[in-house]
Amino acid sequence: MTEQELGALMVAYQQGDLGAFEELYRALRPRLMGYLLLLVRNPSRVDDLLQETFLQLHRSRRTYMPGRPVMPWAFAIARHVHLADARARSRTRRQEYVASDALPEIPVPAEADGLADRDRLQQALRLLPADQVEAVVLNQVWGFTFEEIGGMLGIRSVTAKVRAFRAMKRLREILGTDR
Amino acid sequence: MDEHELLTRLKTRIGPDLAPVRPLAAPGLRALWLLATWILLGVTVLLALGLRQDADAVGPWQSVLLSLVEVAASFALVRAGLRSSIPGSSGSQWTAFAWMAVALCLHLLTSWVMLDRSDLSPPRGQEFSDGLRCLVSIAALAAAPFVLAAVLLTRGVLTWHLLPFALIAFASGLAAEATWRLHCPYSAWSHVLPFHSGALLLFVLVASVGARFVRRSG
Repeated sequence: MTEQELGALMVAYQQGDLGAFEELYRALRPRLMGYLLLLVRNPSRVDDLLQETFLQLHRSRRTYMPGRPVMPWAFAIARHVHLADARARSRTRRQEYVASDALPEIPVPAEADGLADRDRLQQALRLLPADQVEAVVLNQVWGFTFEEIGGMLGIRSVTAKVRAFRAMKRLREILGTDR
Repeated sequence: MDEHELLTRLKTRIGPDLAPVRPLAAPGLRALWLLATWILLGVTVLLALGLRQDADAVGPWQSVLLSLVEVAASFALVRAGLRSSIPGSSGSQWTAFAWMAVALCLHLLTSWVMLDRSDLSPPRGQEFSDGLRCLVSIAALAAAPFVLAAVLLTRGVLTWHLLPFALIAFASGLAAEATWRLHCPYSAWSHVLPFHSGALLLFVLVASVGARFVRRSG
């Protein structure tokens, strides 16, 4: 589904169309789920966060400005839900210990796809700092521009670019490729 | 939870609350509300208290122009603050700090221009009482626009906790100082720095922390 189609659905949703919400849900769910998995790396948390993301998306639907891209807006809300959840958890000092085999698959950057097999890439991505993985995956997997990533993460676009660049460089070092 | 189950659950939750909503206006448009409020306050102060007594030395239009420069900076600050509450449009925290630093420099520059034209100080023995009057007046003038800005801000989604409030508090304080400067004739640094700039910074601190506290406990 293109950004224009998503935008049209968002406008219909703002006008109270439940059908538009259903279509938006189907279009956004897989991408938001992948993004939340990237952020929390714990599949058991993702269902709750995904539900909360759609509820927050509903409460904040008036903040979507017609004509602007939907995906950065929705991803920023998902990130906000994740951060709010993380803050609440740190306040209650509950720690989650996740077994390494329970870790989900991290989406693999397209550019990196040809570098080595998937498993090695998954392992390599886990060795990188979380902020670098986030920047490179948002850019390479979901195709956001660095300006959009900056707006989502609350950082300058050049910072997003540097993070993605460092991630790719580190990936090449870990995987031992020159490309 | 599979895709269909979550959708059913969500429809149950949001179904009763699916009334049409009007999209928020662009941050620049919403900031116009604040601009109108500041200009109204400025006109009220001028009508109620009169233009500064050294207006002839400074130049009446130059006084107004210098205040308008500060108001323009306040407009940019409040726009940046309101923009930060639109998901996907957040600027970086460093950008927010840079905005505030530039606005503070502008405030000091306009103070210096004023001082260059007229260097009146409060009468001996009244430095503190006159200064306190300025401090309280600036804080009072900033309070109502700040509340309005905070209401406009919280209609969005706040991903940062303190900075958006600091931005709009800075904007409100700066605009209030610009308004009060139209009346207060004292341009000496010994008066401006502690009681005008001080009021601005104190207001930013108290208002942004207070707004954050109210929001968290609300």
